[in-house]
Amino acid sequence: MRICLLVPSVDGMRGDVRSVVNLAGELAERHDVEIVSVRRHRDRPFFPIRAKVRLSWLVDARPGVRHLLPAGEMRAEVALWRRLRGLRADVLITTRPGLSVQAARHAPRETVRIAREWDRPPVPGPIRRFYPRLDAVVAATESGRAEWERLLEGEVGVRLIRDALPAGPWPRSRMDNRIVAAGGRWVPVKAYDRLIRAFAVVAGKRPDWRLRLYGSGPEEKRLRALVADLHLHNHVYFMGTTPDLGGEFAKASIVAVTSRAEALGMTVIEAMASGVPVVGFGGARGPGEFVVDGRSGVLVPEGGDEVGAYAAALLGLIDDERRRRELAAGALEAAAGYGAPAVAERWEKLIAETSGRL
Amino acid sequence: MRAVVTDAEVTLADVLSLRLAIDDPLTEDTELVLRQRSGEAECRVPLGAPGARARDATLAVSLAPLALGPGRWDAYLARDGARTRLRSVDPGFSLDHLDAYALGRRTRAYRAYRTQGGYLALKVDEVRPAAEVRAVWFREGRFEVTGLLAFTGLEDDESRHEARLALRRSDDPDAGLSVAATVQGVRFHAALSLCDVVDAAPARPGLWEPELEVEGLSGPLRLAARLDDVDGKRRRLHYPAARIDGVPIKPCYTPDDELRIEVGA
Repeated sequence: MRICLLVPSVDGMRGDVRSVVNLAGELAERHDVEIVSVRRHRDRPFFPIRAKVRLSWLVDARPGVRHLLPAGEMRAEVALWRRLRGLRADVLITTRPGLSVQAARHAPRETVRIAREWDRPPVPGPIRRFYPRLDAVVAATESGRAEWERLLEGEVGVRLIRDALPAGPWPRSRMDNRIVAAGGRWVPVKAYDRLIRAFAVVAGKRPDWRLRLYGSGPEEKRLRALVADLHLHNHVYFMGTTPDLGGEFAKASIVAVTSRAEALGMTVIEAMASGVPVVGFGGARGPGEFVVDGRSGVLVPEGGDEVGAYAAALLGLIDDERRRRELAAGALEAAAGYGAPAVAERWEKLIAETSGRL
Repeated sequence: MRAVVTDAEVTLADVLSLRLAIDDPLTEDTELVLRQRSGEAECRVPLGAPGARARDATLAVSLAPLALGPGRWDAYLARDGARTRLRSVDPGFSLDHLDAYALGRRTRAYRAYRTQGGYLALKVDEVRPAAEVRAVWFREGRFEVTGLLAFTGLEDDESRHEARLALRRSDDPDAGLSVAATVQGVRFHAALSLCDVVDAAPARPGLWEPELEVEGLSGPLRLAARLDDVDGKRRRLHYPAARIDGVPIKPCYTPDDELRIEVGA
């Protein structure tokens, strides 16, 4: 079966890209899989892609590349339209509402068209109008599934399929380094400033613990200034990006997630698969979608003195190694459901149900 | 043949100790192959007859007799002419263990680790006695540094050693200053006045190289931060700057993780 995954860009360091790459790698074991990236930003994608997966780009946006059409949305839309009209695939999976609407409008009807959704539904107009032409909508979390179902009012089937971890074996933490790790893009929504403020409290009481921040992003300068203001320059390491976040998490004993909204949660899943408990905030759409408080991690209520409460939760785990190990075991158990083979099987089942093929 | 390392560590006696989960039990002709990443050097270690047919195997390979050169070595399991690169789920080291490992007097240090691709590898370094930096502070007009002595062979006890922290400049052999430092067991602490640093060479900006001179050790110890898995601290750790009489002073690391104090510019 020919499966085509359409993404805005496969080059970036983002959780959704990671999820698509993992799924494609697993599906490629049994099918002919191609990832079509609308834009190309770099020579090589950030996350390694398995050799069996074909890769193509519609618009080359690398610096210095010349084009016939003017830059901007127009060029991408024309290229996308041409590609969709001539698509020769049995299944098309699109990973953004904008792309899914175009797929519904232009992709051949004999192709099974599925929209993969992580965020809540954006502007409802085009979605209500065009999504009914799709064969299925697949959400990554339970709350996402409920929201999409409410919007689409039963015109298309909405399913829940979790994101896929890469094929194992996953790295495993020994839980013996005094390290708290955090990973993801350094953007305001991830709220690393809350983490650094909370870690200032931790470092005051347990000065031999270190915080390692993995990633990169526009917030770096501000976060470095905050570290300097709080005199944490010996404690907070700005580790930069890594294609092996799971391996780095496996060197830590706690993974901290302070996002205000964690729609995707690849970092949370990867931390759990590395056998490290996650400490996060318990707000709506936060890591609570993945972590069960007291079983596979700790959830801190948002609001009020949230930084103080978060620091107390970190200190509680730092001082109680037995509980840390119990939570780590729970995290491993919870991560088992995200294995690529199980997730790919659910996709195959969904494709078979919607198409009557396979 | 699938083989996954579930536990890896280089012990204090330089023995690579591995626990493997394997699909097919090890046979008599199985070899552990270490292959240097940059270059063609290869080292084959026969593993000998296993005591029992089991899906778990524990290996212990003494590294010193293998005479591995400095660099990174990838690990393979070879049998019947076929070679499997060893996957690893274990990070390969713990930071506390690296500290304990550095207590001994060594000229060559080994560290097992898991590569980004998920394979077992071995890092071999030429080492010499050094002062490992753990924290740097600017407090009350002084520059303070603490850490521990690595690869010196000194005992980790309460005994005190005479020590001095000296600052030198590679571009000006005449400039320099030195202050008394505290060394207890293998822990050190030193503090020096920032005014003295600025006064020592007021004319030109430049980089000061700090060194720790400890009684009983043959040469001065360079201050560096290498006893962990974090390479490139210059980028990852930014220390705050102080300003004395309008002259900026900032500690920083060189590309090979030695500490410097940058004055002016």
